[in-house]
Amino acid sequence: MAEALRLNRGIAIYAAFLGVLYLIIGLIEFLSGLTPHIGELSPWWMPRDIFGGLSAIVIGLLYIASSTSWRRYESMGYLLVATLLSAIFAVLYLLIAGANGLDSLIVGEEWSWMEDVSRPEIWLLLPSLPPLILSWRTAMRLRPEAATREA
Amino acid sequence: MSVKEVLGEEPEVAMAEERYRVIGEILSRVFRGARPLTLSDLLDKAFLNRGLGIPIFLALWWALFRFTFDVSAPLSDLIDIFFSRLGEFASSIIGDEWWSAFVSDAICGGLGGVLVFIPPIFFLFFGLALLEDSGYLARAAFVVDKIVRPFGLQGRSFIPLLLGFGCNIPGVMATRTIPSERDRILTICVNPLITCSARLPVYVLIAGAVLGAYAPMGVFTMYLLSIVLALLMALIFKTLIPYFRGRRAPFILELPDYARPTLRSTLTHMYERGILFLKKAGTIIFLGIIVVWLLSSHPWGAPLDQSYIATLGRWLEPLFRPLGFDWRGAVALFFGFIAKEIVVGTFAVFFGLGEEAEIEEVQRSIVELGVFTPLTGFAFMAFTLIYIPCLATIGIIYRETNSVKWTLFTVIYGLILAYLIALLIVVIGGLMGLG
Amino acid sequence: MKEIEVALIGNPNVGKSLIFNNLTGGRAHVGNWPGKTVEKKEGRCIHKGVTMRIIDLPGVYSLTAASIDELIARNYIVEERPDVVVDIVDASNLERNLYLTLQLLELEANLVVALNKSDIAESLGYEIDVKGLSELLGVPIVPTIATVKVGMEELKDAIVEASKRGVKARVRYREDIEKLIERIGDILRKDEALIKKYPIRWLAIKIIERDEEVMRLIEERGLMGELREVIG
Repeated sequence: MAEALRLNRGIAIYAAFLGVLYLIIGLIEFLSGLTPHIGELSPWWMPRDIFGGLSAIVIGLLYIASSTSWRRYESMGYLLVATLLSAIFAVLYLLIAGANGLDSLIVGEEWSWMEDVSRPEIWLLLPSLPPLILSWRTAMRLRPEAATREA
Repeated sequence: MSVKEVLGEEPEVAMAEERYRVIGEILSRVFRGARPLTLSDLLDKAFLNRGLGIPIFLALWWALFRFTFDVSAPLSDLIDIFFSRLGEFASSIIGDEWWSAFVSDAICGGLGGVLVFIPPIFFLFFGLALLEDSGYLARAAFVVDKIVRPFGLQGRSFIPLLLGFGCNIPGVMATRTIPSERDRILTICVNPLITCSARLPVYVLIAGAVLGAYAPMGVFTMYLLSIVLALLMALIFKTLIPYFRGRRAPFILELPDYARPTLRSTLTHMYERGILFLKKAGTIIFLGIIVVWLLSSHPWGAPLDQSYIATLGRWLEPLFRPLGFDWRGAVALFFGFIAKEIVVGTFAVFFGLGEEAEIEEVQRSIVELGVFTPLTGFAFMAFTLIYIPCLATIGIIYRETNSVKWTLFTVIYGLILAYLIALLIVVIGGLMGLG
Repeated sequence: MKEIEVALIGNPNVGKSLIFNNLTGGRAHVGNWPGKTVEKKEGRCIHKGVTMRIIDLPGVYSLTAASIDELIARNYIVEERPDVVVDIVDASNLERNLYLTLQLLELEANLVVALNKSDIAESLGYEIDVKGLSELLGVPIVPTIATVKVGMEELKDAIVEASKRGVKARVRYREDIEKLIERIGDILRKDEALIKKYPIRWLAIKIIERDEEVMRLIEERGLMGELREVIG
């Protein structure tokens, strides 16, 4: 059972690649948020990039962890959570973009939609699809209901 | 009883069996044989990971915050506009001057300014319910446990404190899951330091007014300060107060299996907790704002400076002068005792904005009238953060601790600490030349 | 410089030889147990100012009178009373290995348990609450992986610690068995020379089990008469 959950070499390399990608993007977001570029990027009560960047770094670390431990069953665990978080943040930023759009309608201001929609974490979901699908399938397979059905 | 009677014809065999029985009992308590790996096991490899567990939690916490404030913003704006239009409309059709002012200023202006914060609150509770029902929150508590132990708290205190970020009341009530009475009371005493959603309007208002581009940082600092103080005071209490001393129980928590949270249960949780706030808004806050409005608009026709509330304010002012708050701030804090949301409502009433009771207007007035400087504004935010819990929370604390002593203790230390910290801010800031 | 005597014991194939080599640096003096053809290995280890004389006892599953190996091991512990006995337990085979541990506790040996093959246990998906186990047994437990020398320093520390403290551990059996042990013990206590040499609890349990060697000893001491009633 534990063996069946290991990643194969292909996915492991891909995960490493994704991990590095998230790491770099996260680092950039973090650093650019640190210097007083608070300007129009940040909403009016939180410095966005610092923590958004850190979150992206966490996702990157998770992908890398899943890659380096690919021979052991933990790798699937890291992958599951990495894809989960990347999906959560992608959806989050999409929602925020939508909310900003809605808001501009309500308040009657300009919507800087280019910025909102071009948020990296949203687009990173596309290359994240392969591991995401793998995670989803594994999760479905491992659900308790599945186990009792087999028994 | 002889050996033959107790153990039968083959005592050696019987003894061997007894040994294995004991071993079996021991193992049942300390040994987990290979079981088929479950989804929970896999997820826990990441969520409970020594290095990554906390960062994952922080990332999720951050996502929750963004969700709470940014995604709910359109709804808040909707409410904001609704009330200000309503206010305009009311004052245009109500002939009687007094009633016109009452409806547009007190109700639409004051109350509306508070209801604007309903969307974020509900969004927050929704998100918290998701985290809780999925089973993740128990993992977070587990991981956090190791970190807060040196401060006298434990993982089980974590969820009540986390809830406190939404509202201190469910936070205090959630301490029922803490078995040790001592730890429970410690968590309750520290809970009011967790900045609840009612204080947020104050931060937003003041920070937006006087901190300019640093407003986001300022608000965020309040949240940080909240956590730092909670840990610090827990540590101080644990060390100085005999009642809290003593070894903590080890943290053994049955981690529930992960489950997919259903929409219904999440919405139910959200509703249950959010509705508390609404009730509070409908009653206490509403009444409080009306009182404030009445006091500030009478004697009728007199300018604000000479109203009853100003008299009350000037009476309180000396207390707060070292902190740099004027009578308006003093009075706002005074009424904030009833419900912290009233602080904002008070300012909204002060700046008498009937037509457009929008936050920006109030902020502008604050700056123009010099009510706060960046430094004193910051100190005011800190004071609001720390000083006594609101009336409803005090009530709950009394109910949960069943002790006048602890309730009074919480109230009093809050006041003292708030004053000290605000004073420190003003003094140090003054020394540093910030003004 | 303080000198203590440390005996290594454990089931066959648990990695005892490996641990012996790790502790003694591979230098051993090999001979025979007196009057027997069984090999006896001795070595030395110096740690934190303490010199340990390490004796490698034969690998055994239990301590009955049935086999030579078991008798050698058991007699050594009873007669030489080593300062510390290190029980090497295979973590991937706990149930079987703990049987010996319980018997060592009956002997009131000053026990330190080396939980070896921790890596294998983990790879099998086992989860062992070492702290809990240590509390339940009342002895210090050191997880080790002898093949890569993991845990050796901690083991040495534990041995030195144990040599200072002394025996305290005990595992209780069923109430009615404990009562028997007590009754027998009361009778045995009358023989002062006997109880000075042997641990009472162990004697009592061996008597209950009708252990050959112990029964012979009891006969020699003339206690058979009194005990007959209890034995039944």
